[in-house]
Amino acid sequence: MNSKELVLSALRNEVTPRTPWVPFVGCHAAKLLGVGADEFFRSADLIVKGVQVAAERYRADGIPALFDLQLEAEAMGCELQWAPHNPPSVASHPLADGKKLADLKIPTEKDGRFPIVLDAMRRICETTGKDKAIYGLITGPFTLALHLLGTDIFYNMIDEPEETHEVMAFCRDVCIHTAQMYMDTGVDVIAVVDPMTSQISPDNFHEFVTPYCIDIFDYIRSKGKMGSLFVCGNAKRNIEEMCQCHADSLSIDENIPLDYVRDMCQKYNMSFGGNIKLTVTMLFGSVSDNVNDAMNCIAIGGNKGFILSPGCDMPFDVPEENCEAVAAVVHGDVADLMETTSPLEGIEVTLPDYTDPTKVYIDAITLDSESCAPCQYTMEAIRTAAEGLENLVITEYKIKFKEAVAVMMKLGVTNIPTICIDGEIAFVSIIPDNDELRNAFIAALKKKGL
Amino acid sequence: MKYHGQLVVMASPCTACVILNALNIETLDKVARERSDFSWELVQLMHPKDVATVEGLEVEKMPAVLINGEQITAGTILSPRALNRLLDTYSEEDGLSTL
Repeated sequence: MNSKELVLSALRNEVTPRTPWVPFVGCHAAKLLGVGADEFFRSADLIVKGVQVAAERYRADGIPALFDLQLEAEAMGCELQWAPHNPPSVASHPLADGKKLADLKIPTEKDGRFPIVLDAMRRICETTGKDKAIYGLITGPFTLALHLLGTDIFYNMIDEPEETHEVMAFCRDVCIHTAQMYMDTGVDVIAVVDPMTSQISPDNFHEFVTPYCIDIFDYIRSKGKMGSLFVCGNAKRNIEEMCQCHADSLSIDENIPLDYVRDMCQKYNMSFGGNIKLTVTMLFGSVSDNVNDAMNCIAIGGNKGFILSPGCDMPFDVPEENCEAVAAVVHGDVADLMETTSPLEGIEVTLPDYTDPTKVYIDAITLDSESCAPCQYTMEAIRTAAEGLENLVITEYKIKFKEAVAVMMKLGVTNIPTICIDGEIAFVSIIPDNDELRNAFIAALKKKGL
Repeated sequence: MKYHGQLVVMASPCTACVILNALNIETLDKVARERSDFSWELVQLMHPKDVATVEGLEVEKMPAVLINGEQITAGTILSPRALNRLLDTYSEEDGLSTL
């Protein structure tokens, strides 16, 4: 199963052999290329190169071709404000500035930056897309309506519901046409990114978003593609409503508990993705913080229908090594990462004498059981399984310390958490059930006649 | 009575925060143009730990709007109508009503 198949399998809500990883690289790709975001988003060559570099460097299983929620708005007359280190922002709202809905037209492949973006998407699908899932991101209908109307939309939903529905229907048509253009380039997944729905109530979502999203996702499915609904912000109250929009998958940020979304999505037979913390972890955290966050997400997400991703598009300045740390967790080579980021020169460790006939040595290699949930479960499992057994020596090696990384290397352990018994790797990235673990301990004791 | 607003944002936002920031800036700009009793400033935080440097900021969710040192929003959009109503109903005793 290659990377693309892994993502598509997860999107179909299937059990996957490992967690697929989809870094939401937007303006961050500009940083990787050493250019400004304002230059990046207006050049097909840079977009293609940026996606290629990010996908390779971060060993992505899938990646967005572009993360720009202003593209459709710009093509319909919204002015943009550009910045070197941020995505552009919408600076004017045609429907609040005197234009009528009838004055607007659905953008085509000739409008705004669509010629650039569609050219880039075709090239990305032909290259990076050979073995990685390419996401085509469209601005969701509510966020697009907000771009067109500005904050008037919040009162219009109350004062002018019919007019608001007309705007939403127009935005739905824009979404469907944009999705069609993207699908024609060969993208594998259409993501409907509607972060501003976090600003409205479930009732308003039900009335003004759900029917239009259903049309969009039904259209995507009718074309044989899969669709994912992305939301950012505290949209917990709307999650169940989102699950009824006919999307294949939901993607959320750190404002919503991942276990809540997992349970809700599984109830509706949907896959889900998220939610590495963007600011605290990815932008400002250490490599260990990123390993920890990714492991916690994977522990909660499980191996059925879960895609690991950041909560939203990664800020420009996210340190590259933090994304590489997440990739190391997914690909099972945290040891190499830790050795690279924490050189072990001068660090000497002595392993226990595993031939000692009087003891059996249980070594747990963790990030830190005090902060990493899977590591905590592992240590609890070991202690529970060892209850009543004598002659066991249990040691936790926390790889946030260099000495523990050295132990990890000596034992040949590549991922965490790992349980070794008398120097032999026994359980990797899995928390065995109590009987299995206890029996393994007993077998090791018997082997030494204990 | 004079009102001074602060829009507190993170310096390196994601796309969703860029949209929220822009809409809040529009609102504060519009109200400041309409009312002589209102002014505002943009406060950009370089790091989450800098939250403590903004007096009155209680909820660490951006963008946040404070009026006269009292936080009134966190991670949400403030519309001009809502802000005007808030300022018009200001009570010397109770301060700002909540949105």
